[in-house]
Amino acid sequence: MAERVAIVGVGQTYHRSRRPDVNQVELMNEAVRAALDDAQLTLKDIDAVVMGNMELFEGNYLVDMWASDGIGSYLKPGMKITTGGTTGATISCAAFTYAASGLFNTVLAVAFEKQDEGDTRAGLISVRDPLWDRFMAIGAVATFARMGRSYMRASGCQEEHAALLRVKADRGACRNPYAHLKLNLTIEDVMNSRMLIWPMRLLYMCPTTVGAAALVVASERKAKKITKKPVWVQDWVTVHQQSARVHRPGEEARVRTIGVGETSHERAAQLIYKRNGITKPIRDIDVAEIYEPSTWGELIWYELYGFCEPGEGWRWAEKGVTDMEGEFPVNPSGGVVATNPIGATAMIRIVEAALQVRGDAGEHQMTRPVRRAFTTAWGGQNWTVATLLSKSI
Amino acid sequence: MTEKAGEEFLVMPIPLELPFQWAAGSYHGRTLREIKDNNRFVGIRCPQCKSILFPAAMVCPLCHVKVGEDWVELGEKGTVEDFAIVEMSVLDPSTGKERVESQPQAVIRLDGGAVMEHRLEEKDPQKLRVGMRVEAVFKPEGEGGKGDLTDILYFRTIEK
Amino acid sequence: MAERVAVVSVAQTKYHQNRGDVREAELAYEAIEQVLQETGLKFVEDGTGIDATVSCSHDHWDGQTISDIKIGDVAGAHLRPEEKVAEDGTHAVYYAMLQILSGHHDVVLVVSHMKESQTVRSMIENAAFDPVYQRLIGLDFLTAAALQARRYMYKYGITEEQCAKVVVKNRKNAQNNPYAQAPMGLTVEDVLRSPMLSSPIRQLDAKPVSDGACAMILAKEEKAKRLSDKPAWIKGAGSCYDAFYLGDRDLADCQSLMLAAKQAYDMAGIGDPRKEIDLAEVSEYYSYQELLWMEGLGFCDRGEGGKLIDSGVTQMGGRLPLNPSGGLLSGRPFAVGGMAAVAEAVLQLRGEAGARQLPDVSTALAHGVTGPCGQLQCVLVLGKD
Repeated sequence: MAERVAIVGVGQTYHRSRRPDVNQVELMNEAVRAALDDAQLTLKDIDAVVMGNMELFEGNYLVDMWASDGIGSYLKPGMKITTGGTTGATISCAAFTYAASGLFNTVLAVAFEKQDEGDTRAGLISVRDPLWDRFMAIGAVATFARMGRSYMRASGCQEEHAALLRVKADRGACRNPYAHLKLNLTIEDVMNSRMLIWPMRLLYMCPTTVGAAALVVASERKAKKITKKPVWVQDWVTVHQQSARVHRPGEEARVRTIGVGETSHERAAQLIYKRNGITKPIRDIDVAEIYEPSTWGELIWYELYGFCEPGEGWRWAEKGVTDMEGEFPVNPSGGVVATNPIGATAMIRIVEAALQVRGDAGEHQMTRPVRRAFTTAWGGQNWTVATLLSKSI
Repeated sequence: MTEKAGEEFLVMPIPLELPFQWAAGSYHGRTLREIKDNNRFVGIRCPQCKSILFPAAMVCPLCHVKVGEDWVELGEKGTVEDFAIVEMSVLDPSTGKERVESQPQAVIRLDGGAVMEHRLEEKDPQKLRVGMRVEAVFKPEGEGGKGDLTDILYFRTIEK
Repeated sequence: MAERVAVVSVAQTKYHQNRGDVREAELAYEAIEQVLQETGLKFVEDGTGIDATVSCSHDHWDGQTISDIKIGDVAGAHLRPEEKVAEDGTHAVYYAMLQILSGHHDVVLVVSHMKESQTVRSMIENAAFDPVYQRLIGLDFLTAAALQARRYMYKYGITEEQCAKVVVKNRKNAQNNPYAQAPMGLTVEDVLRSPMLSSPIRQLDAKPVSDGACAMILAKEEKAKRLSDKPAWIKGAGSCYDAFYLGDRDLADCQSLMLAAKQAYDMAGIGDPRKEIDLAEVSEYYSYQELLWMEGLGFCDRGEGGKLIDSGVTQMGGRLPLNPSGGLLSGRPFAVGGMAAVAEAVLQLRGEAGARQLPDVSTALAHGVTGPCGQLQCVLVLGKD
């Protein structure tokens, strides 16, 4: 990398179902102020601003134009980058890219979703091809139901295992002041929640959340001046998967992986591990903040990220390996099933991971020291953005 | 900031309807035309990895080579790989209105090797199973096939 | 700056009012295939091919959430990186440049695609305005531009004839550009007689509806020199937002463009753009914009845009030809327009611009605009060495 970069400020809003008290720009502004305050900077110190969301969800075309006053891009360089569910991570990577380029010292990244102002289900249905399968599209619930059914058939996993992870997520959310759903759940509560499509119950699916997040990213020289606790960005990767319409006679049932062959999760994780000398994630990584729109995704993706062996995900749930006090904590923040302002969701993973590295996560701070954190984002028809954050360079 | 009790905020509803004309192009278009005109499913084979692209497309996403003219008939019969009974209300993609998905949705492996998603005629959960054999039922001639997957009514069971 | 970045290959489709014969991916591939063939590059993992893709398109225009989902196949995105810049195409090139400068990638494919013909421009642009205060007035980018044109003409005495001269010049230039959608031999009178769309903007003052795609490959210095005998170096880049609410700025000025240009000139070491730039491709969605952008780019003093077009300096034989390709007024879709400007700058630098080739081109400027009344501006300076 031309220039090493660090996260020097993080911010997010309190996440809620509805925020009629603010418009979209005011919502973003809350996160921007929080991140600037955290970095002890003002807009004068910011050289460029990048932002993104799900473009069709609020129905705003080129929302970065309207947002310019509220996010501070007025008379500054910047752009909007949108990549679906991964947007929040892509925007973060864009800020890393800006700061690493040598052209900018301090960069602000802003992501948001105000889902009380648009129709998210319609937005998600319109991901699907209008000339093929949009007519019967339901959205992510159907996708994760299919993955869950397939996983149960293949692995011996029972619904209880998903319920265990859902309760784990809720325990994290209840300790996280920013989290949206804080429900004090029991296994029974989860397993009695409304069935949507077997085995997807309401509580296994992420909520519809209003919220925003922001990051301040700085080049190495600048980062050391701004903060005593820079969180170094060790690496980042983006990987798509485009195999949904590729078919091979005789291939295995494909319902768990959305397409034939290797998945974006496997490729992204292996790529970033290899580049950074990670041979055993459970040893080399201290905490993971992953993008699990559904608890069923979390179970399955432990395996695809290579955290555990194939078929072992549900046993991890049984053993509590990924609890906050467990051997390999995943989503101490409560994760996406508790809080999902879609465009911002992937950035919140990075915000939360950075807080853990700094030791500033408060009630949901891990008791063990965090030297290295791993984050993921999920979107599209299986797209992954993974990052590695580190306490030292 | 959180919502203050008793305070009322203005919310402005703006319903939007945007008309679109989407072009299918020659490859995807051929798949759709075959459904409409001949009630059959065709994909195209990648000359390099021999995978089937269905619906057909100009470039194989895996090998990144242009496909030729190796069209493959996939058959109208297949095996259910997965099915789901939808217990939630869903949005109709063409109108944005709520609807009930009354028929089970299924992932069907056509005998020619490709996989597609559609609905099943059989609604009785007791009679649904992974591995069941099904075949496509097309709209009767004269009922206005549109050249998309709604030209198929559903897949019906052909073997218990 | 540690690293230098060059454009090593460019390709575009012929721009057309309605490409109903192709899907978006097929349209994009018409351009992508050409740059792959020219460079011999492949989508491989061993560091000898293309490392990443930056695309440019818009969910609203495509009627699809995550509009890049459907071009991933042809853009080499399977098990590889792709990110979508949702601005005009110049910012996609800018972002690809940053990816290389950051050291994260060596070789990046940039592709923009758009079919304006498939939906309704005014409804999409209306959705860019504040839903509570502005949308119900019915503003779109045309009516906003009309406000800007009126204010600009009033403040500086710019005439309708001077605006019309931009149309005549650009449509004439397009006659030598095989990619141009609508080359035409026009007179100022033809323009002034065309139907009024939103006063003072007439039909011929506005860019026609257009479909098309543009692709290019950017590479870091060492690889650029291997990939092309004639790399076009990105010497300067600038980007800047202006205020959103139209009343918050004087629409007769273009502060964000002046700042974007300053960033680009400082980076490229350009002291006097009037002398050091050999040609410019600017994004004129409406005829008055070419005059206003010339001022923002420092090609003339404030308010002198009209005099500059009168003087003939910006014609093909002039000292600073503007839009030798025919510009946006000759037909280019929004997401593609600025990238096509970069493509023209590259072709001119390489001496491959055919019948419209200018002599002795060593420095060229490409400019792109996004948003109402030029709110977001991008300036790229390209050079031969």
